[in-house]
Amino acid sequence: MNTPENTVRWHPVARSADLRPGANIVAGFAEGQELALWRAADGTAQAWENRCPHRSVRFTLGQVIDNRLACAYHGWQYEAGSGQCASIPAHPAMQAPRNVCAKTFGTAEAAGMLWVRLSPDALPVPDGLGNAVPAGWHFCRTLTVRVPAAMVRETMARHGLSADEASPAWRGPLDGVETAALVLDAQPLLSFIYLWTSAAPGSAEMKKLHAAARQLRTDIEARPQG
Amino acid sequence: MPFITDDPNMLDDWLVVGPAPAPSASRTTRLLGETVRLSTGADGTPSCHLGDQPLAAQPRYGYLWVCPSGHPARPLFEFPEYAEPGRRLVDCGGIGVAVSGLRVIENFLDMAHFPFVHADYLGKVPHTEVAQYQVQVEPTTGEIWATDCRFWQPRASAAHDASGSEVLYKYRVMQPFSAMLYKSSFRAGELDAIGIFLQPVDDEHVIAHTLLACYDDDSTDAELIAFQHTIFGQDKPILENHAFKRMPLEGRAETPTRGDTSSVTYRRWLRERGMRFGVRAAA
Repeated sequence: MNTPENTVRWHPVARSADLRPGANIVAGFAEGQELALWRAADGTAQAWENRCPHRSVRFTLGQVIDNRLACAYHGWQYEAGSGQCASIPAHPAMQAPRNVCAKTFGTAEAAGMLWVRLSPDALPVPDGLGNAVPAGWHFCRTLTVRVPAAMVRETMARHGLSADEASPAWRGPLDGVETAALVLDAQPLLSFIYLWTSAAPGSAEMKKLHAAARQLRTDIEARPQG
Repeated sequence: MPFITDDPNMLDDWLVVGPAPAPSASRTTRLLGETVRLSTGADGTPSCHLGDQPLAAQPRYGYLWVCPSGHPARPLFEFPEYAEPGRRLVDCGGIGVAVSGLRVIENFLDMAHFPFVHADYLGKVPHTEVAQYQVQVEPTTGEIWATDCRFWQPRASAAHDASGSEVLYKYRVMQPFSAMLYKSSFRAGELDAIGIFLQPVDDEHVIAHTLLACYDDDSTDAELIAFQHTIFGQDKPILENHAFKRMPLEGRAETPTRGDTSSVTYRRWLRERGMRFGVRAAA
């Protein structure tokens, strides 16, 4: 099925809880695209190309001011949502030109994660994102591995996880602990794995999952490259 | 030619490689992707070798300058302030920067970043406005000059206290990788001169050599150097976080504004001389 909904992938780029309204900017990746992730003071999540249109300095060095992102180099400010430049401090009396605009990507918040798609088209958020992690589950940890996402999925399959039909998650018991794994194809040789679980924080089961996660990472890194 | 580039803008020009070694000493450094050896004879004559091959070299302004091809297209630029009596000459040392040298020169010419990158030193919000200034290319020397530049600065140099003043600037680009600025000094009516000379390591790395030719009766050399290092230390993380390390000269990859006249002129000047080294290929 080659509908746009299927071909344009939603990438789990960060935990929603890691973006605080009007506060921090988080560096993100998806399919090699560098992202600046932040949350406007009004709470809306933003995923922008990590590059100021003026001199290409990374937005992640900047700061969030209310509902705007300000570049660290020259203080140019851009509006949440549209990415439209709203202020050029070198010329306070001049209206910022309309053609100065940060490149923005579509976002969705579901299952405790911020999801980004790299298409500018307005597409509906598929129901599957919300099903990726069952309600009431807890976050375990993120694994960062310098291998392609396909290799991560192959190794997860050998650990007994399988692709969920109704969501982008991989599901199954990891060393006996119920787990939902979300894989981010960050760069050609960089992947992130977000592990969620039914195990309660601080429980023996959670400890067991942490140990299983370390083993999973070891096995991924031990696989022959290329 | 064994070097990493075939751009005559680099090969046929005088490139800085840092101060010449002391008499009878030698050291190696990097130039255009190669390791070169700098030596100074017992008689004080410096030289530069790539393997066994001597390269054209001359000592000027406290540094050794090398022409990789041996066929310089023009003599090294003039720097009359270097010999002016009463000026303090201070080499602030070489600092490596992981970005195209063209980005470093553009940053050196830029006033608009002062309040944001050099807050409480060279600028301070809300004093952010860049007033109109003049930029021209000198027909005789081919140098870019930006004049009539002014900016309000909280603490313009090591000699200034933090009470703030409007500071006059003149900027000058002599080579793609060399620039000077002249700014109001502690001494009324006189301008301090600051040179930045970039040693091209490769397309995305330089060693920035900074030279002060300034008036200051009070600060020690260490204080003058520390001030420059503070300023440079503020620029370095910005410079190393350009999403494109090489500078685009064409197309719409980056959008200038009104006060970027120096930058726009510099990029056009580079384009007109067919600059390729350190340049991002057009998309």
